[in-house]
Amino acid sequence: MTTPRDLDLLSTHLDHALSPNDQAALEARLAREPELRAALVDLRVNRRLLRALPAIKPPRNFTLTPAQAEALRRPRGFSLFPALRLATAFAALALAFVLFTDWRTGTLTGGAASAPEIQSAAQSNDAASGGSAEIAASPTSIDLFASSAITEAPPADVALTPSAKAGALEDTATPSAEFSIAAPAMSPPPGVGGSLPEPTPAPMTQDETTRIMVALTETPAVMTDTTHTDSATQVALAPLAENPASAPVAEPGPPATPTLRYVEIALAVLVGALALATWLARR
Amino acid sequence: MDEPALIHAAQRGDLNAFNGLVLAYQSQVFSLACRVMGEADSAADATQEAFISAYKHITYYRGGSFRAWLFRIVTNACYDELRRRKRRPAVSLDELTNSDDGPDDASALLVSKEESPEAYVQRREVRDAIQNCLDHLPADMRAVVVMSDVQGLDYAEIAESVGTALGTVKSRLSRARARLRDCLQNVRELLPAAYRLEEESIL
Repeated sequence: MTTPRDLDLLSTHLDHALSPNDQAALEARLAREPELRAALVDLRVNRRLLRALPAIKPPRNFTLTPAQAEALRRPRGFSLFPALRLATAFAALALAFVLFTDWRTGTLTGGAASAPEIQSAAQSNDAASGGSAEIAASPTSIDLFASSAITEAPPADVALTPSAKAGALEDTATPSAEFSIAAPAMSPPPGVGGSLPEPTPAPMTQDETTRIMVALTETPAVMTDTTHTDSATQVALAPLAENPASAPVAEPGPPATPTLRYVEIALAVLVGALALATWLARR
Repeated sequence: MDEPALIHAAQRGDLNAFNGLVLAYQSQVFSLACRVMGEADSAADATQEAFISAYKHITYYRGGSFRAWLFRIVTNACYDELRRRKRRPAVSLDELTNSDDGPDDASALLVSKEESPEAYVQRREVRDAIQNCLDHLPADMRAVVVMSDVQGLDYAEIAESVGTALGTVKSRLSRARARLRDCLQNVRELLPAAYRLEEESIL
C-alpha cells in the first residue's frame, strides 16, 4: 500500500531533491517493494506525458504599442475613491455608535429618568383639563405621559378606575402599558363625537396632587402581588407616597431625544451620500 | 538575447527592450496561462494583463529569475481571472497548438514520423485527458504542477513564481502528482506499450 508519505518521497525523488539518507532509504525500499516501484513508474510516466504536451502557440503578439506605453506611463489623476471609502467607513461607524448609544441610553435610563419627571409633574400647578386619556407607549413614554395624564386630570372628580389601577400596575411587565384616568364630568361637546374636548385650565393644588398620588399608592396588595411590577414605577412613586410635600420642584425640561434623532438622521444621510459618491468614484 | 541588458533598458523606459522581453517569454507565459485557465480566450486576457502589469512595475524588479517574476504576475492574473470568470464557454486548446505545424521537442515524444490516423487520434485523446485531469486540480496545485512538469521550472523558481515557501511547493506538487496519478489511470491504456516499458527499464 502506497501511503501519501511514500508519494511525497517519490515525488521529491523524481525531482532529485531528496537528502542522501532519504535517497538511500528509498532506493532500498524500491528494491524490495514492487508496489512502490510501480507508483514511481506511474509518476515518471505522468511527468513525461505532461512534458510531452505541445507548446501552445499564442494567438497574437502581446507586445505593447507606443500609444499603450504612453497611456500606461501617464500618471493617473488623483482618485477620490480611497478617501471616500475611508470617509464612508468612518461615517458608518459613527452612525452605528450613535445608534448604539441611543439604544443603550434608552434601555438603561428610560425608566429611572421618569422619576423626577413624575415628581415634578406632581408638584406642578400647571393643570390642564382633559376628558379621558388612554396612552400606550414605550417604557420611556409611559412615565412621561402618565405623569402628564395625572396632572392634566380634573382635580375634583379624578379617580383611578380599578381596571386602570390594575392595568397600570400589572401591565407594566410588558413594554407598553395603559393608564386610564376617568373624568366623568367631562363629556365631548355635541357634534364633536369622540374627539377630545377643548382643554380647560384648572389649577391643581398641592393637596389635590398629593391626594392623587396617595390614591395611586394605596394599592399595596396589587403592588406586592404583582410579580412583574415595573421597578421604575415603584421608584418613581415611593418618594411621593412617603413624603409628597418634600418632593423637589423641578423644571420639566424638554425631552433630550430630538437632538440625538437629528444627529442620527444627519449621519444616515451622510453615510448614504458618501456611499453613493464612493460608488461613483469607483466607476 | 542579453536578458539583463534588456531588463535594464526596459526599466529606463525603453519600450523596444521591453517588447524584446515580451517576444522572448510570451509563448511560455501564454502556455502557462492556458494550462492554468484551461481556456484560450481567458488565457490571452490574463497574458496581456500580465505584460501590461509587468511594464508598469518593471522598475520594482530586483533581480532573480525574470521568468519566475513574469510567471508570478501571470499566475496572479490567472487566479484573478478564474475568480472573475463564471460560466464562459470553453475553447479547445487544440486549435492553438503548433503540433500540426511540425512537432517540437516536447511533442516529439508522442509523435512518430510514421504516425497513422489511429495514432493521431490516440495522441489527441491522451492530450485531452491530461488537460481534463489538470482542469480538475485546484488552481494552486495546477499552477505548481504545470510550472514543474510542463514548463520545467525548479522548486526555487516555482516558489518565487507562486510566492510560497519551498516546502509548500513540494507539498502541493506531491499532492498534485498523486491526484493526477489517480486521474490518469485510464489514459495509460492508450499509451504505447514501449512508453511504459521504457520507464520501467530506468528503474
